[in-house]
Amino acid sequence: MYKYFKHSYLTCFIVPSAAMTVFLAPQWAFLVPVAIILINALVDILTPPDRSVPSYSQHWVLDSMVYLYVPIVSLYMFSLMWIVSPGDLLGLSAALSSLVPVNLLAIKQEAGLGGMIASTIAVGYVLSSNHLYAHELVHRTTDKVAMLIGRYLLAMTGDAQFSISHVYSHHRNVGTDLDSATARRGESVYAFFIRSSLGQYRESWEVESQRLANSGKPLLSLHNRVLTGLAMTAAIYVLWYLAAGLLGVAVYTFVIVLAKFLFETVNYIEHYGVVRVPGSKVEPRHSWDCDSRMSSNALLNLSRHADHHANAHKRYWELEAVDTSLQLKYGYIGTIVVAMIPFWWHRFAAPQLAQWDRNSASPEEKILAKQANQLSLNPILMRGND
Amino acid sequence: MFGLFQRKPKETAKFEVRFLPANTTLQIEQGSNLLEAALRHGMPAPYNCRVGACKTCQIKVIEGRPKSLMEREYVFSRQEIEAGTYLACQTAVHSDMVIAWDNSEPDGAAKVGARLLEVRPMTARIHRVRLQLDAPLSWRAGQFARLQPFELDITARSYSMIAAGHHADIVEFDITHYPDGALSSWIVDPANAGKPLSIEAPFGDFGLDETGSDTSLPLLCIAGGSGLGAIGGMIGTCLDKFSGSPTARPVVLVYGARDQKEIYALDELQRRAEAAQIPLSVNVVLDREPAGSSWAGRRGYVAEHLTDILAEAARHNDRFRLPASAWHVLLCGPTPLVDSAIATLRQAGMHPDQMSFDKYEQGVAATTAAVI
Ligand SMILES: Cc1cc2nc3c(=O)[nH]c(=O)nc-3n(C[C@H](O)[C@H](O)[C@H](O)COP(=O)(O)OP(=O)(O)OC[C@H]3O[C@@H](n4cnc5c(N)ncnc54)[C@H](O)[C@@H]3O)c2cc1C
Ligand code: FES
Repeated sequence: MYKYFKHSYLTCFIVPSAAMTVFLAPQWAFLVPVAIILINALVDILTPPDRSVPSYSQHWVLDSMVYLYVPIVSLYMFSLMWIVSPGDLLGLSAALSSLVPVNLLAIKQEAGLGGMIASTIAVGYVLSSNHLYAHELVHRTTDKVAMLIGRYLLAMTGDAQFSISHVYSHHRNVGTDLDSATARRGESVYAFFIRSSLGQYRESWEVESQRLANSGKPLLSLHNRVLTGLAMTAAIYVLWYLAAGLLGVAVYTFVIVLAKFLFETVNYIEHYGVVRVPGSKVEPRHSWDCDSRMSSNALLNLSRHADHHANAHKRYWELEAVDTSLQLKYGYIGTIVVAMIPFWWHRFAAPQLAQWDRNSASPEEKILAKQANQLSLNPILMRGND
Repeated sequence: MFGLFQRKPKETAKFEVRFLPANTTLQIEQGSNLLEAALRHGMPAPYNCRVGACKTCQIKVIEGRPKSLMEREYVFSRQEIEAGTYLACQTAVHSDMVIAWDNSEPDGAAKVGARLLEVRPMTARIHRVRLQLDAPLSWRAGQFARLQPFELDITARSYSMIAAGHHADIVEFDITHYPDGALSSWIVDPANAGKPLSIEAPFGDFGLDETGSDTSLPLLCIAGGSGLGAIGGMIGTCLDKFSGSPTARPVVLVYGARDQKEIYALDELQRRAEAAQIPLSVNVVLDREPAGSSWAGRRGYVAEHLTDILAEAARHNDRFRLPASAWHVLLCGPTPLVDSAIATLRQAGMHPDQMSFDKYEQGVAATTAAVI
C-alpha cells in the first residue's frame, strides 16, 4: 500500500505544511527551504538507494498525486499574496477567526517585513517544484486537460513555454549545441540560467512559428501558445497587483526568478557537459542519473533522468534507475547545493565526465568531448585532453 | 482522466496493420501505440525521441484512420499531413491500416530547406560541413547533393555526401575552400552558422554496388582532396559491415593532395581498419610538397604511382595478389586526377565496368555514369 504514497510527499506533506507556516508563522517561513534541504539531504545520504519499480494497478492514485498538487500549490501562492497584501485580503482572517481561535491578521502584522521576506523566499523556493509536476503533465500531449493544467503550473512561474521547448526541442536535441537546456562544459549554473532560460523562449518561439505556419494560422494571435502562456502569467500578475499593488508585483517577480533559477539548476545537473552527435540515438548515457531515495520519491522520479530521455513514453512511476557513468551521488537536493558553488561543482563533475569520455562516449562523441573540454577553459577538463 | 474504472479487463478489439515495404501484418489492439506495438512484435522500426520531435519514426498511412497523439502541425507541413504522414510513436491504432515506413530507398531527389549547423576544419583548406535538414532524406554513401544558400545569388553547387543516411536529417560534406569560390567560401565561414540554404538530393549512382559481386575481392579507392570525405565514408561503411570477417574486402586507398598539411582522416581510417581486422593499405601522393621538405613519401600525380602502389600492396598482403580484373575501383575528386587515374588503370588492364567515379567538375552536376 505504501508504494502508492511514495510520491506523495510534496502534495500531501511538504506544500501544505509550508502553506501553514506562511499563514501561522510567517517570520519563521525561511525555515521551510532549510528544513526541505536538510530532510532531503539527510534521507538521501543516510538511506540506501531506491531502485525499485513497483507495479501499480491503480494508476489514478498516482495521477491524483499530480493533480492534487495544483490546488494545494495555488493555495500556497495565495498564502504569500495574502501576507503581502495590506489588509485582510478577501476577509480570510475574519472568516477563519469565527471558526477557530486564531487571528491571522494579528500574526501577519506582528511578523511585519521580516515575515514578508521569509515567506517570499519560502514560496519562491517551493514553487520550483511546479516544473516537476508540470513536466509530467505536459508530456501527455494527447490529454488536453493535462496540458492545460501543466501549462497553468508553468505560467505560475512565468514559464509556460517550457511545455513546448522541452518536448519539441530539448528531447530532440539534448546533448547537442542546438539545445539551450544542455549545460556546456565549464559553464557555471549562473551563466547557464541566463542562456538556457532565454534560449528556451527562442526555441519555443521557433517551434510555435513552424506549427502555426503549418496550420495556416497567424503568428501573432491567440493561437500562439507562447503568447497565451505569457498571457496566463500576465493574468496572475494582475491578481498580484490587485491584491498588493506594486509591492505584490515585485514580490511575485522575485518568486518567479527564484523558482525558475532553482529549476534551471536541476536542468543544469541533468545533462551538464554531455555531448551527442545531432540526429544520433538518445541513449541513457546522455543524462546524469541519480538513484537516491528522497530524490526519486519526492521528485516524481525526475532523478531517473537517463531512462526518461531514452524512453520518454514512460509515465513517472515506470521509470528505472540506470547505471551510467554520470551519477549524482549526493542526491538532487544535495547536488543543487554543489552546483551553486562552481568551484565545488567542477571538481565533482569533471572526473566523471573524463570517465564518460573514456568509457561511454562513441568515437564521434570522443571528438566532440575533446572540443568541449578545449572550449570549457576549465583546467581540470582540459587536462583530460592530454 | 483518472481512469477510475480501468479495473475490469475489457475485451478490446484487434485490428490488422500491414507494414510496407516488408509486407508484414500484425494484429494490434485498439488504442495501442503503433511504434510500441511494432517494437513489441520485433519489427525493426526506426525511432529515437518517442515524444514526436525527431521524426525518425515517420510513416505514411496508406489506408485506415489512425489517431495522432499530437498535433502533427508541430512537425509536418500541410502537404505532408494531407499526404497521410504520421509519426509512429505518436499514433494510436483505431482501425485496420496499411502503413509504409518512410525509410525505403529513395526514388528520386527531393529539395528541402536546411541550416548550416557546424563547420570543422580538417586541414587548412578542407572543412567538414554539417547541415541540419528541415525534412529527412535518404541517400547512399557517395551520392551527391546540390546546395544553394538563400543569400547567395548563384546556381547550386554539387557536393558528395559522407556516409549513408536513412531518413536522416543531418548530412555532412568535406568541402575544399577556394578563396575566390562563391559557395565554398560562404559555407566554410563559421559566421554563416545557422543560416538557411536549400539542398536537393540525392543524385548520382557513384558508390559500391555489391549486388551479385564477390565481396571478398579487393577494392581500390582513389581520392583527391576533399573527395576523401565520400571515399572515407564508403570505406567506413565497408569496415562496419564486414568487421571481423576474414573474407572482408581488403582495401587499397590512394590519396592525392597538395602537401602534407592536407593529410587528414587517414589515421582514423587506419585505426578503424585495424579494429575491424580488415587489411587497409593507405598511400599518399603529394603534388605540391615543397622540395627538400621532411616528406619521404610519394611525390607527383596519383596516376604516375598507381602501378607501383598496386604492386607494393600485393607484395605485402596475399589478398591483394590478384589479376587486374578482380578489382573494384572507386574514384572521387577533381576531374584531372580522376581522368588520368582511369586512363592508367585501363592501360593496366582494368575495364570501365569495374570502376565507379565522381568528378568534382565545376558547375557540372550529373557525371557519374560509366561512359569512358
Ligand atoms: C558531382 C560533384 C561532386 C562534388 N563534390 C564535392 C565535394 O564533396 N567537395 C568539394 O569540395 N567539392 C565538390 N565538388 C565541386 C563543387 O561542386 C564546386 O565546384 C566547388 O566547391 C567550387 O565552388 P565555388 O562556388 O566555391 O567556386 P566558384 O565560384 O564556382 O569558382 C570560383 C573559383 O574557384 C576555382 N575552382 C572552383 N572549383 C574548382 C575545382 N574543383 N578545382 C580547382 N579550382 C576550382 C575556379 O577556378 C574559380 O577561380 C563536386 C562537384 C561535382 C560535380
Ligand atoms: S521517435 Fe522521434 S518522432 Fe517518433
